[in-house]
Amino acid sequence: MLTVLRLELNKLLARRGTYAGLVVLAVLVGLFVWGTKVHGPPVSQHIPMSGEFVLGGKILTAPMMAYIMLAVPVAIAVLIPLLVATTAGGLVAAEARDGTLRYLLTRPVSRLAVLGGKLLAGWAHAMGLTLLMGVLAVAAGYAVFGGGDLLVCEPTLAIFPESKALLHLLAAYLLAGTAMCAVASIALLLSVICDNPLTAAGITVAFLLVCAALEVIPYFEWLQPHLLTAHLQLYKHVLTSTLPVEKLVRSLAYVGAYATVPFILAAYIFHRKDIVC
Amino acid sequence: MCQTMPETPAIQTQNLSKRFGRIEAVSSLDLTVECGEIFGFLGPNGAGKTTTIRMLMGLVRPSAGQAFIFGRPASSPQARADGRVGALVETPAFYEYLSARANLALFAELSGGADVKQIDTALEQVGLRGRERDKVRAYSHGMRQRLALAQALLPLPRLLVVDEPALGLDPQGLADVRKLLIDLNRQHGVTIFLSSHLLHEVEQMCTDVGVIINGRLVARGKVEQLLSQPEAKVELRVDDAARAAQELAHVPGVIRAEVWGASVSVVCPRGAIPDINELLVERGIRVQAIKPCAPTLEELYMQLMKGGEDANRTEAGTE
Repeated sequence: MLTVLRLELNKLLARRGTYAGLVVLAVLVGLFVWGTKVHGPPVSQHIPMSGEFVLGGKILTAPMMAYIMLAVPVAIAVLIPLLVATTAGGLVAAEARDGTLRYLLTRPVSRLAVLGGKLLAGWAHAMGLTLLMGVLAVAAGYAVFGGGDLLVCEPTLAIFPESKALLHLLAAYLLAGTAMCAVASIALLLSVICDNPLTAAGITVAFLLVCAALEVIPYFEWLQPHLLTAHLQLYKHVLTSTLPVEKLVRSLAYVGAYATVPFILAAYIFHRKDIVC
Repeated sequence: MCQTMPETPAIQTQNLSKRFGRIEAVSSLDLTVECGEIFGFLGPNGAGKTTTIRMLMGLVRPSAGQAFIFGRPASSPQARADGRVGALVETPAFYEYLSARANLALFAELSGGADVKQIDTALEQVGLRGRERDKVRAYSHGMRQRLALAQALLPLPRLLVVDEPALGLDPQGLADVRKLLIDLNRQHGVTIFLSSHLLHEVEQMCTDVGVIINGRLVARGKVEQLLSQPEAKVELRVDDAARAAQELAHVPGVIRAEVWGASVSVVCPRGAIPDINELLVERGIRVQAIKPCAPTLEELYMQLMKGGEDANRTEAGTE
């Protein structure tokens, strides 16, 4: 399986499409940093709170930029899932379409090892993209705004000194990356079922959109806690003043289930699948 | 290459069948390919050749029956590991964005890896040295076919399963591939399972053949055994072909006498040829030459395709 993983990563790194995704991500981070610098609030300001309280200090910092990139839906809820779904959706389907899957499977390697290697590559890609976004945001933030503390207002006010902020942000990005791994697993399952990578990626994104829609329809209140989209923002749990362990564990369990159950299904289907393309 | 287990066939299928919905692609196929054979697998389009190869390579699950590679179930990766099986299944397929060498290294790695020298040798064998650094997307169809053959050779297999290896090759390429396969078989003892439409190629290369039609094996045996017939076919060059054909048509034992340009094509019992010669001379027809026409695989194939003699050939060939 590790050989397959290494080969899959080599293939990912050799493809131009992988770098196109990275460029899009870098452009998005650049746009946000530029937009925040030009049109955002002053770097230092006083924010009136309730009553007589006024919060003053440097708001726009490198850790804040990294936090903004996590908090804006366009990145973690749209762009990265799209990139992850596109890549993971092609892991099997693109090879089936191109005929290389036929040649891979004539080699003395089990289908489980092939699929496992591909899953790990998909996870590595999902985690790598998420962490890269964080690294780019922090680097651009330091370059434009410099260092400083991190102020988080949601769900409650929390201030992290710069040294701790970076650690919290690392944990937050790792959790966000874990959530993206679940997206990769779903895309891989669809990649096994569909023989077209675009279909697999499209259905994955459609699945996330349906989940997001269900989250705002009161009729589905009973279902909402179980939806993947309800746990995609599990990173928020480590950006609070007190760590909500129970909530974090529950979210991790859901994300873990969304990451593993599709793989088990995919492995079952792939094992029985006739490779006729 | 087969010294370790000489008694175990390279390929064995028992009642192997595959059904796709209502279509029975392969039906109760019993086939044995012994170590060291070059086995030609013949059949028209849609006969079940590729489905059989896919089942042998573990790509397709049989609906019934079993397939074994060197005694191990074909679906098990272990069979392909122990047996060191190289395969060229249908059209070549590669990672277009990688070089030929990188593609070979990648596929070889899944079989335990191949060093630079082995890859160089495989490239040399298929005539792609000097172009190995090019991206596959720049390759012509013939070059891809050669590359597909190279990947099947890494690492040096004990069994080589090749599906239409001549597809897209020019005459020189065809001759090179023929020579390569024969050399692999003779020098390294590689068992070769070859599916092809080129009957002449199969006849030149293969020691054994099997013919599959509509998913059923209708003939199997040594090439010479299948081609040996009680009747002889000869071409008589005479000064009056029309009259010769007329005379011979009434001779007892002559099965067929047809005019072919300035010659007469005669099918008759082997022992009757001197008598025919004598008879024609007696009737004043000068015989300039008698040329025996060996039956070809193509003729046998066409006969089988017409549905004649299939049961007899299977029995004769498998005995």
